[in-house]
Amino acid sequence: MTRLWRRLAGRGWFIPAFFLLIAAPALFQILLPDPQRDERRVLATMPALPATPDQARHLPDAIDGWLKDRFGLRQPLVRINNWLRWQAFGEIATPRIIIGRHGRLFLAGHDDGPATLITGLCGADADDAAIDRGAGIIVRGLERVRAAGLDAALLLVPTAPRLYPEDIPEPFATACAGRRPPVDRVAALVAASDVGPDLIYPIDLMLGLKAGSEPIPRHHFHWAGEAPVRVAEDVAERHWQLPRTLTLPLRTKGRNSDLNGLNPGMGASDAIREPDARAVGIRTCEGAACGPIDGLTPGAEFVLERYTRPEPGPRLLIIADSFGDEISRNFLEQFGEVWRVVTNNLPALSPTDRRVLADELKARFQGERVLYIYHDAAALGGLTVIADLFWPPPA
Amino acid sequence: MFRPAPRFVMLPLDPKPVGSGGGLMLFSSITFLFYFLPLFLLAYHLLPAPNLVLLLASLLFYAWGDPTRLPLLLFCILLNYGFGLAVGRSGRHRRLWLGLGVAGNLALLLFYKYAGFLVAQWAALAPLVGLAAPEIPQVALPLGISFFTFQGISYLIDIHRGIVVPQRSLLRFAMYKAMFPPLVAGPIVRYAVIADRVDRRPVTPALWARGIESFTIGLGQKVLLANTLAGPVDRLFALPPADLSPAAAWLAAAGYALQIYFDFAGYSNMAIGLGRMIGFELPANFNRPYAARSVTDFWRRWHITLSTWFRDYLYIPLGGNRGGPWRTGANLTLVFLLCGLWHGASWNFALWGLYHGAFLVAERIGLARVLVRLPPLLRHAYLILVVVVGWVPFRAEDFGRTAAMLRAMAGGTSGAMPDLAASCATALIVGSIVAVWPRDGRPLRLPAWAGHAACLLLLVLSAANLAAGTYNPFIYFRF
Repeated sequence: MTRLWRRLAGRGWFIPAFFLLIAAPALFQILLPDPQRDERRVLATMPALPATPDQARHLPDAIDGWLKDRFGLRQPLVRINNWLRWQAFGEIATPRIIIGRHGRLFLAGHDDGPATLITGLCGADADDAAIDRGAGIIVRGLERVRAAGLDAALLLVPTAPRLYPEDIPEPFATACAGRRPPVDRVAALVAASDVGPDLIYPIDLMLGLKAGSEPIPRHHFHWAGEAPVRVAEDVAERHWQLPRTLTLPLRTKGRNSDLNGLNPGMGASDAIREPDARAVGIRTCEGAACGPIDGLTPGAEFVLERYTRPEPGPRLLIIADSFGDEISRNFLEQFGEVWRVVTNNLPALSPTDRRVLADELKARFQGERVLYIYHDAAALGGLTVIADLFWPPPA
Repeated sequence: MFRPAPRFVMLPLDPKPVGSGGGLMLFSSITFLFYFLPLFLLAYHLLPAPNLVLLLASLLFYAWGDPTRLPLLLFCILLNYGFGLAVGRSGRHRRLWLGLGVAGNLALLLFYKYAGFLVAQWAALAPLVGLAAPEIPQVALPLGISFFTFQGISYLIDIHRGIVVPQRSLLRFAMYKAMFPPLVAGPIVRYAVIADRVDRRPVTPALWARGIESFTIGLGQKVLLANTLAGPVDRLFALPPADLSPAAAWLAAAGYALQIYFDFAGYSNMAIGLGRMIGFELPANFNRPYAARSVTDFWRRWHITLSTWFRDYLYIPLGGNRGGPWRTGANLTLVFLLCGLWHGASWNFALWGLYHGAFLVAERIGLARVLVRLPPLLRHAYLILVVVVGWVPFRAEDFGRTAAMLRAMAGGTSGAMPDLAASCATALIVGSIVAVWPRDGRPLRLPAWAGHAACLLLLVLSAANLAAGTYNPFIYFRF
């Protein structure tokens, strides 16, 4: 053993180890190519042999681009770097996440461009026309819902820039100072209309919850934990006057940040006091397991979930963006069955599939309650697509 | 519409992609590190003709990104090979051949590096004397021309001086001239240094291991320190003068001092390491220059192969210090003016060279005697102050920017201390400690196995950093 250690500790292993380390990416690229799907972009492909002198001249650049995108062990190396940078320095390698005060993380935008999810929501980029347009879309949509005889409401969920203006970092903080958040203005315009009661904008409730919990966990973009429970109770009990027939127990659990995917390997997490659905026998099914939908193209990808509790009760359909995820099952305190359709990837479906899905939901939930749930940024015009897809067409 | 104000939180982020060095294969690129290097080492050590493998790999390395630059290198090889043989022949025309060969190298350097600059000066002056301003030629600067033309000149002069005999094999000479480790950013390798290894050179495990150590340390210096500092330094130097606080200006100058050191020393260490992996012992280019205690001492430690080149092929032939103080001062001033201009065709580089020349002259005529009476810490502080201030004209684009920076450093502006991201602050602190470490040898003396493990860890960390696509241009390729 001692002899082996001495041999290992000498330079005998050093040269092969170095060589293996520098050759490993090429070997892995050949033997175990990584599909590299995490980046959600089109990666460079292997360049073709040049047919012209000009192509030959640019061949090295093309090869550089291809190797840069495809070298083996790329994902593990990127993850190591991101983890070290976050753990050692509290830094993030993507401009899509901005580190705020008190360690809060803000999603800057849905691409690498300007931080519109901060400046747009705090009012620095206030655009009166967009506010009027956003309010108009909501009012017209809710009018159509009413006209169709649905018992529906729209829940707008405020996000971190609205809930935690004190955590917005410079230079955004200066730009945001003294500005009225556009979503508040949209909500006020809708509230002043005939369909005002159908809009639920729980800003006061969620600001109040900050005293005892974190409605948006510090390292998360989405809400989580106790706030969605309290908002669900508020919607069901105050808006629909439904009594609570089940109380969800809460437990504290460490949960990885939903922003980790934008900075792979970062490993940020929060301790979140969240409902323990299993403890009260809540069951979940997903997609076709919840019942096939005839007429859909095989393989059509969309998220459909159903939550049920042991005791029967009324049904609720939730049509939502990703902010519906944390709150949907909480409605089982008042409902016996909750269905959730996520609209984020519906634009990718064919028009026929979208129509089939909408008709199916309409048929299944005729006369039942419907709740639309979107985060505040969607109120500034982003609901157009959703309206066209899921609000009933004009009579 | 809101436009964010200039950010003072300086993160080491830059959108430039990894491996994109503007049409060249950087040692710290994915293409070189993970593909070119392992394939080259395999071919070099397994195939029967290592010199041919090295030559072909070097030509591929040089042509990568822009094959049109290759003919110039090949011409330079033939030029020096031919004139080397001519100078090496005994006869009364040796001096003439030497002059023609040196002129040929200088002509290449003048045309490619200084033609645009010289014509631009003439274009500025011509209207003053009633002449039409000429059109300024757009000449692309070939990679590494300053290095390989100086190498060629030293080869010819050393043959003339009888220090080396001309290499008769075109393959071996081309291999020496095109050898990729020092080709584009030094060190400047004189033929005399490697003449005995051009034909055969054993690569012992000990030499291999030392090569890997140098390479990984250089890679870490470049990727983890220089690149981390590069983003904030660039942003600070780009700040409008009105936003440049004294603290920001000093931070920029100090950050650049460390960035350029770890960038250039890192590259040199990688080149030296690669040389060892194939049996060459290339000359050291840096010897902890920021640990010096005078400008004279600094220039014995900074870019050693360039300063010794100027000493041996210009300063001493001019008379060196043999002609009295005035002549010595004039020689030093001229040498450092040219040394500054060697770094780039710009008056800022000339100013930087003259600045250093002035301190060297001052030390020679009496300042050195004052300095030796000072405590070592004060002497060190003097050197750091002189060098850091000197980097301002070197880094700034023009005199106006230089003046604005120096004014801010002198306290002529107001403003806040810029926030510094934790990684940049760490690079600044670690870099400062490593750079000014006063004692010979490594900061930590580790057992061999621990040192080797640390080198491999450095390699993995650097590779991870490169994979994440951080800032990556090499400063010295500009020269």
